Amino acid sequence: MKVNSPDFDVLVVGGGCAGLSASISAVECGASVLLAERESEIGERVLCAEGVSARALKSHFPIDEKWVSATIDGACFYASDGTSAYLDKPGSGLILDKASFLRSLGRMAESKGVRVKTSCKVVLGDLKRGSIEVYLGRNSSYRVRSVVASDGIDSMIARSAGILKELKPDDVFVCAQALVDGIDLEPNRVEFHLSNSLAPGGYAWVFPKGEHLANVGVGMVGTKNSICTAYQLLKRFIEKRCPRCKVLKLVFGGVPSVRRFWNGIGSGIFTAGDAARVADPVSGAGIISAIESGRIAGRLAARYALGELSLADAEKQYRNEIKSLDRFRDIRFALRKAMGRMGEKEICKFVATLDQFLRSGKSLDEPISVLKYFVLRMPQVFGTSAAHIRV
Amino acid sequence: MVAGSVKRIDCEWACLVCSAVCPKQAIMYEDGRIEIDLEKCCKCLVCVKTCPVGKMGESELT
Repeated sequence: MKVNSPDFDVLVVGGGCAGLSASISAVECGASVLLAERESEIGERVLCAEGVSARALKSHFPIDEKWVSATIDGACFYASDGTSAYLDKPGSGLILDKASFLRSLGRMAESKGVRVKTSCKVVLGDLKRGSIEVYLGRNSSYRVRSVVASDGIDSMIARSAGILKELKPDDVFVCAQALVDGIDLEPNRVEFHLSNSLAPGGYAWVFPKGEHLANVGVGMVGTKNSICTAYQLLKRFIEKRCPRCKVLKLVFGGVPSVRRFWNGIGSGIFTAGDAARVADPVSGAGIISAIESGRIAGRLAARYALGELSLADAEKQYRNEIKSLDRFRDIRFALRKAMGRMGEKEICKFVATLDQFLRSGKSLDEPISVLKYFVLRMPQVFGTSAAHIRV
Repeated sequence: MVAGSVKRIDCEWACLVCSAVCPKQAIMYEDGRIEIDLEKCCKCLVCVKTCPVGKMGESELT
């Protein structure tokens, strides 16, 4: 289809992990790319616990030491009765200085030719195929061929294009986190505290960021927040875990935890990151899936914009590639639903069972064997999950 | 503060959970403030129930 020459091939909305990865992939495909960020600087607002798999991150970007606040050698899971489980995996994780990471990606994007505009709110105009009208700020309008909507959990771009539904309270982890100083911790181990009184349907965490410095947070299922808010629970957790520490910074946020990836595409708009609901439904981890979904959205938005793929083919490929990001998603979601239903005694038994599982040398990276193990040992909790999954 | 049919609540956090769960797309975040379009709002209170800070009150929506 012949249309008037657009100002840019691809507009990427949002300069987080997903948006920056999308813009890098799009420009590498040969597209002209404009990235619009709402804040005055890339990396200015970080709503994230900053934990990431070292191996997975390395597969996307060579790791710069400046991004790394702490290297993680293992995890400890605690239940309220003192039961605990240890996972040893030396060097497997990183706690990032995400602002520094995002700034580096921003510089990388610019050096490859991405035009970055900050302090810039984007509103969609006319969604004509092949020439989408967008308004940046108050006075400037542009025409672009395709858009990557990586503008977060409430993606105004995807929602105004009619390709994103609201999240149900049951499908979101509501989170509160503090950066604290003066906490006693093992500097290379993350902590997960499982308890309905600390974080109903979710968990509380301590992610070390250096000596006596950590991200301390709680994430709970959205339906429980009306009883006690995430912020109240965070204060309770800090009082219990590190009463004398100093809170340096607070952040709040929501993490989508949905069964299916949302098919967030239409009219040349491709979603990525939280807008595409790609975070892990059990752990809420979202950095790697944001990068991967951004890469997919950026590449396909560019190839469609450059005329290498029809819109139908680009959308089909997007659906297939996004789906293949996590082929065990149904199992993970069933696990998280079952875990959300556990009472306090069951949580304690769960941690004890997890301890046996980890001691037997099995890996949490294989969801089918994890589920099988727990179905056999805690059938009253996990039996129903297994029923609707072909294991 | 009320201006027309839009209610504004100061909120420095910009976590946008309220906006993400709103079934009517009645909530926008602008310059450190939550803006609720009371004409779109269906008073389901899902934003009040899921706000992690407890910023949103029932009275804000009436």
